[in-house]
Amino acid sequence: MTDLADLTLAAAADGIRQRKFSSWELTQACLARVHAWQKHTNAFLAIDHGGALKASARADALAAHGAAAGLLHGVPLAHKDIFARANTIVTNGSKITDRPCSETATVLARLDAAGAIEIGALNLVEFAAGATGHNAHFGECRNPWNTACVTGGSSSGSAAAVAARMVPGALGTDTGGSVRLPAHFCGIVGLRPTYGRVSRHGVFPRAWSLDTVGPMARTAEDAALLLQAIAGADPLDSTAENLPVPDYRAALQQPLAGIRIGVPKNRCYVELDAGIAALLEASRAELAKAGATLVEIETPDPQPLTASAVVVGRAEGAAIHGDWIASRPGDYGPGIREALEVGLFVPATRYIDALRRRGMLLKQWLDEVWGKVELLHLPAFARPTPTLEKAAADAASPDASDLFGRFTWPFAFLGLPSLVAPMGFLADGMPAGMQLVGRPFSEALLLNAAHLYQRATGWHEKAPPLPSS
Amino acid sequence: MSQDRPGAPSAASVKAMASELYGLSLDDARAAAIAGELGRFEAGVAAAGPVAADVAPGALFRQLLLAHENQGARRA
Repeated sequence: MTDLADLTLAAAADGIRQRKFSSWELTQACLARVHAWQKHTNAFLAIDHGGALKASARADALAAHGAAAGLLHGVPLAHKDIFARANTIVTNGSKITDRPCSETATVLARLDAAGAIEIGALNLVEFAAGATGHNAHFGECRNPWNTACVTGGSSSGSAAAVAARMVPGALGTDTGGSVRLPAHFCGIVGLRPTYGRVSRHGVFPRAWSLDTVGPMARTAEDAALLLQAIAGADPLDSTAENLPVPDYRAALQQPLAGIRIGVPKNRCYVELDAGIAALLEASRAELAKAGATLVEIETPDPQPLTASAVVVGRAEGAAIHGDWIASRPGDYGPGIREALEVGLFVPATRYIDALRRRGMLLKQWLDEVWGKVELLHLPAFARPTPTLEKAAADAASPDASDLFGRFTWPFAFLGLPSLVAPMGFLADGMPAGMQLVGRPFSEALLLNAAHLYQRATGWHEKAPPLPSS
Repeated sequence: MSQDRPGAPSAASVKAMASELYGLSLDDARAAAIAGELGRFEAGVAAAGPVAADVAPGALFRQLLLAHENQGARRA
């Protein structure tokens, strides 16, 4: 018999709706999985065992009276500990933010309205300011495929929890790659939506001009359900655009005929580990089999995008943290204060120029790339998954920053939607993901392409073996 | 960015700013590391070329995202 914790989010939601099993049974199964994995991965910062079971019992009672709340009714989830929940302490992975929140983040309120249950808070890099998954205060998050390896970050716990099937879905945040990198390293789907698609109200900021909230799940269909629940305008966040939200799940099955997928041939995209390159090639072949047309393309140089994104990210990060850097420098973990501190010295003129350049660069990319193709197909990371030890040793090197952000920062700066989906395993047994980037607000197409790819390949069906103790 | 603009702040400037603006004490090595990082930003951004004088921060970016919403939603 299938362990309920192994169900996808879509199957879990459908099963509860059809009364095949109860929310309480599903939540019990997920909690058992959490307890089996927690000491090995450190994915959770807090586990609300009792609260989750009470909430699931309430969900079952409502369902019994025909009063199911919404499309995620009774489904247990957990999220990066960066989303405000009224009367709850949200750590942001830090020891500085230690007071209860006064309100609830819009995305959590929307998941509540959809009927989802929250079973705990997930680990993250301190203040979402890092790409590896280390956290000096709460301990590093470890990859369930190999606990000596990084999960990626900053949404480290979200990726580990979903990959190990502790929960069927989670929210993360992505400023420069914090949803997509962990999705790659842990072998799950991670979607960074278009800037303006999802409200950031109640989300602790890393850099206002770049921050997004994105779903993380095992399948594109599951990510579609989560995005459906959280997307749309929000009077509490003026950057959340007042645009219609498509039916993402309904769009998943559309054939890819007529969709052109650009394959960049610039050197910066092809200098890759041979194993990653082979998986990317195989994933392109599958997308072509699904009906897409592959088009070789030379993109503009992505380096100015990365540099501009880092200028904006550093300057805004310093604006957020400046007072604490001065008053509580010892309360930041190693490397975090140093990373944020640099932004104090970015001249205002450079910051403004980077933001002025953003529109100009977006226009160039829309004209030269998205005028020719609907999607770009890219790596998410160029090398095999580093160990936690090696990533920590290399953390201060400029090369490390370039290595982790090379394929993710550019599209964060352009504000474009980007999705990472698992594309197989490297010789060392670690998963790897392909990245698809689309036009503004083309999340439905990204999810559609990833869904057809997953249906053909089945990589998402593989799970890391349960720990023996 | 015009050709005659000064480059990134030097290590000495970083150290002085840290003290005068933020009350922070940086040692020489840390100030040099920050100056080095700022220099790398400068070089990377400069590669994007000049930006027209009448471009306001943020406005064109949002306008383009919204203008392409239909294309994003629509399939080829």
